[in-house]
Amino acid sequence: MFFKLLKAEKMKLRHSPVWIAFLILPVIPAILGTANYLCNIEILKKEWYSLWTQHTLFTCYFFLPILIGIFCSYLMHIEYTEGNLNKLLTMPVLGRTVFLSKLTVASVMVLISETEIGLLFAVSGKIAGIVSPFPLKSVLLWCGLGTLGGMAVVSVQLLLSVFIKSFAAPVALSLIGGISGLAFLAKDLGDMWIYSLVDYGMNANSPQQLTENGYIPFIAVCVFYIAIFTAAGSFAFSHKDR
Amino acid sequence: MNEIVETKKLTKVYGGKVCVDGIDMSVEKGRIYGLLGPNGAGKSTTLKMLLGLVRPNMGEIKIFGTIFSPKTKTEILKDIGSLIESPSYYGHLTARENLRIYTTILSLPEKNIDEVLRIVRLDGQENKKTSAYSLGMKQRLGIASALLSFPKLLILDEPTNGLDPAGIKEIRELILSLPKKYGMTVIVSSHLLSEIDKLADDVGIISNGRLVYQGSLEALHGYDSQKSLEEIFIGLTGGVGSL
Amino acid sequence: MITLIKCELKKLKGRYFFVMSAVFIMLYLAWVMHGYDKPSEADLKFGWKLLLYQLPLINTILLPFICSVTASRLCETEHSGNMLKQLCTLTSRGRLFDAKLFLGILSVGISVAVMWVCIVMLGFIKGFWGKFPVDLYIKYLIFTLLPTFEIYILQHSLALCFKNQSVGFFTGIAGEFAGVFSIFLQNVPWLRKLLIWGHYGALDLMGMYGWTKETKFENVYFVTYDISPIFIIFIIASTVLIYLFGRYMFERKEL
Repeated sequence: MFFKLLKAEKMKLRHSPVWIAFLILPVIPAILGTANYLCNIEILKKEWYSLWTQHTLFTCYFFLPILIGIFCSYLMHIEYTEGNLNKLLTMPVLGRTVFLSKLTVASVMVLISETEIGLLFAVSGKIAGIVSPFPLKSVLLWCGLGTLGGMAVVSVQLLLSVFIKSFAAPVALSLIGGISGLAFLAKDLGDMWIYSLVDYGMNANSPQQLTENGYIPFIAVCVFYIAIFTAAGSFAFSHKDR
Repeated sequence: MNEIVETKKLTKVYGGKVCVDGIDMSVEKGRIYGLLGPNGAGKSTTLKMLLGLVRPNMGEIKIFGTIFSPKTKTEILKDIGSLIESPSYYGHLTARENLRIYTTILSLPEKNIDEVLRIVRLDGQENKKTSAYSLGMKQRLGIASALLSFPKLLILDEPTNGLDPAGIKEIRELILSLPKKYGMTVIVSSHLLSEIDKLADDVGIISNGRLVYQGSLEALHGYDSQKSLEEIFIGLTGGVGSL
Repeated sequence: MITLIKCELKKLKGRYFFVMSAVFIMLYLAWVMHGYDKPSEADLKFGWKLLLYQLPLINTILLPFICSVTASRLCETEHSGNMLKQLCTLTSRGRLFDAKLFLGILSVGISVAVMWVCIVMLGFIKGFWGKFPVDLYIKYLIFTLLPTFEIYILQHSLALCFKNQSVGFFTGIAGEFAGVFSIFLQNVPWLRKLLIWGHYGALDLMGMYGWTKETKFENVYFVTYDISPIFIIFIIASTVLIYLFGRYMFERKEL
């Protein structure tokens, strides 16, 4: 049933260019971040690592959480308009499966963005003329952990959109989340707070923040958040009066 | 098992206000059951409880002989098609694409789409975006999606809303044909007495959340031979709402 | 027109609209003020100038977003209940556009003004050194309001013209993203002038030089920038153009 719902979600996104935003947005930091790197090349001496910070700093702090917020709002909003959610819930499907299918669609979007960020990073590094070898292993790890952190944000934003019918309000909360993430990161609690996980996982702030074994607790925290918010969202789908 | 739907003491309270009050409803197989009542009497809430969209505060629902519970819900819903309140559709998709979402979820073949589109006479219009549909066309699409799986039980809430007189007649004939053609049991709600009078085999009348009458249409006609059906109805519902 | 605006106010009932604005103001102030719990000597010494130097970046990150959310909150009710069809038969579309716009502009305008007052109060309470540079801060207020109105009108048009609210949000967020970068790109000053989201940076009044990681504030000096009147005229002209275009698109929209 899960795969059928997933296919249905994919069909709902046809003719709806929302997903294009996930492709366009990473291009902005790639171009402008690289330009900024080139302008400040005398002080940014850590080559790939400096460029990485230029590319991902603002992306992780604000734009990825907001992008996720908008997408999750959209996914729920198409159900709220014209009573589609009622129709969906009279299908022989479990609330849990509905939530999981939406979580998966949004997570795939995050994965696409992260992949693009990685690819654009490699290309811009070459264009910027960085000669040292490309830190492939690190980039793969960062993008992977960034996706996982992004999935945690997806789970909480989806839950917010399940409870709040307004399109704008959950998006507003995603910005507040992003800024709170900044605050928690500053207090060295970035590995605990849900909205800091993307920054933390992607090492946007200062490279080598994550130790060799540090990613196992990180993964555990992400999985924990995803699990509790998915449980809450599934419960809300099956227990809330429509 | 002759009873497709059976409810016992079905009750729903919204914020201290009793919306559905101890309804004992019984729908027999192969019949068209008309749920009649003024606006706001509790018809939609009752139907929503049958579909698991609203959880009753009290009482029991038995559908196809199985007690409705979170565990049995998906199994029961497999055999129900429904149209509740207003038709639902994804406006940015065409009618065919909308229906395809449901056939995907329900694992139904594409030919079901062609068939229901033909039945509700939307064939030829199926590649238009549904946001550009008229109210009547949206209503037809809603009925089409309810019919899609050719379910054992069909629940239609005010199915003729927004249709022109010719459309009303057409949909009425369609509903009347369903039990014979496909062996379906149909529950239709309406606030229009004349509609139910032309459609239903059995009638349940809801007023202020209570089921004030349940029985065959003939029995209702014979309820008080001195009075017209309209007068009987107004008498039963205490004159709440107009027809 | 007054009646229409009153109607708009009535629609806000029960939508936590003012709560949301208050939350945004608090968020903004929390961000600005978090460094001033225990201000250093440099913080106090350069206080007034330092704030003018720092605020445009925070404005670029937060204010366009507040505009997107406010515009969407005001317009989404009409889409969800198909109210536009109804309303457009009762009054002209242009007036409906204006009434909603007025309320939105008022809301973001008041928010910016409240933020400004709180920031000035912060300076006095913390005891920033030197005289309060009134003229610079008045200029700063105007130069914060101008881009805010410009961006708000765009977001308002998008929120009304597109039923799908994500269109406005994505446009806003992409523009804001580019705007934030444009502030850092000192070598391409035309970028921030061209992008409406870069206008907070383009109207920057204060430059700080001589700060390094090692010497910190030791050799710091500030330079006050002059803003060319031609650029201000450009901003006002583009604001009017966005307004006319948005209104035109809304009038032409098929319902």
